[in-house]
Amino acid sequence: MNEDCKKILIVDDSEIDREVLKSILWDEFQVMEAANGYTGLEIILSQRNEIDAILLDVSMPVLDGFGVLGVMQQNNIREIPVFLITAEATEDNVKRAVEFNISEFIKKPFDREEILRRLKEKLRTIEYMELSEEDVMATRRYIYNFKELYKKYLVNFNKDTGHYTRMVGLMKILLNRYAANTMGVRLGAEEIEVISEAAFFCDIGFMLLQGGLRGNSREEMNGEQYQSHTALGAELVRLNNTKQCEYFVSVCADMCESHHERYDGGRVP
Amino acid sequence: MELFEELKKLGVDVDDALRRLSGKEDLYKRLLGLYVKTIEEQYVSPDFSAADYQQEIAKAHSIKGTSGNISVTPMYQAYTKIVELLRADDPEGARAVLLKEILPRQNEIVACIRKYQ
Repeated sequence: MNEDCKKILIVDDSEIDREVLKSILWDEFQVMEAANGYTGLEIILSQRNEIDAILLDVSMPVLDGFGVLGVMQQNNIREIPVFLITAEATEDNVKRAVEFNISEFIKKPFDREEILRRLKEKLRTIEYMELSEEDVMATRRYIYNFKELYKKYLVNFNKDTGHYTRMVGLMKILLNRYAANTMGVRLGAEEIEVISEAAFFCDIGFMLLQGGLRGNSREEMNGEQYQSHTALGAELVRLNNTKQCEYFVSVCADMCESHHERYDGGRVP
Repeated sequence: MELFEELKKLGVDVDDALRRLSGKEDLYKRLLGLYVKTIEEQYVSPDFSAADYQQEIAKAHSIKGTSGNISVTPMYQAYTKIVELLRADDPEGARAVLLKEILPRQNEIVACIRKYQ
């Protein structure tokens, strides 16, 4: 672990659960901890600019996770990603989480790999700059092969490949403008190319839906099956777990998962 | 470690817990000690006769999560059942599970951990 590591705050009243989480995160993140909601809030309010993410237990005595979120909202603290820890994402918990625009749950028992992957994706700790020349070559090869395969599916099922090619082009234009006009964002031409290519696969989850559902009507789009294409697409993309393609897989899976999400956290997922 | 072998015989998934803890055996042993303390502090009473047993649900829910995280699987499964039964307003069913399934096995596991602390 080095000093550039992202800082994660764990707020959980169970010492065992905090210790397990610390052991999962220790090698890759700086970890701070609070044993109750009040101490957690003190840290959040005094160090809000230093905390990169919060893992927040829902069920805590006196001040529970939603109480902490309420005070954060009153103080306009919306920039820190929050993952809610719970043994079960009950309907009530999900509804209350949505009120705070939170969709990330960490379920007990903790899944080491899943927690690390989701945190890294959220915090983008997989940097393009870390890729070697071989990694870039392997990623390009993978994108090419994956695209050819997906195109076969699109053609066989009479779907429009042009739509996705146009999305890649549009993504490139937007990213170039974004990089040029946004202070502090460093995106190289090669990185823009790789991110743009990911846009081609955003609907790949449709491959796994019955009867090639496309969401042609509002009713169909509101259906559970249609809405599952985002998560299914991400799952499919993540089947490539090679180190060399890690960056592209992370960007692409994120795009599959979130491309229907609105700015306010609404829609899918 | 003898403790781990004995716990395995009682259904604890020691390997799963050690995977989660990156193989840190000493940490696991310490957490098992804390687990015994948690069970004592969060003791779920079989007396669900009180009209409001929300507190018992909260305690059972807490032990369930902790049991899962250190892979004390029999307790995780049994407390999951208790929480479900209490939420479904079936205190009699919950009492039966607690007395017949949980307490005898819980006592064995706690005694085993204590023996090696």
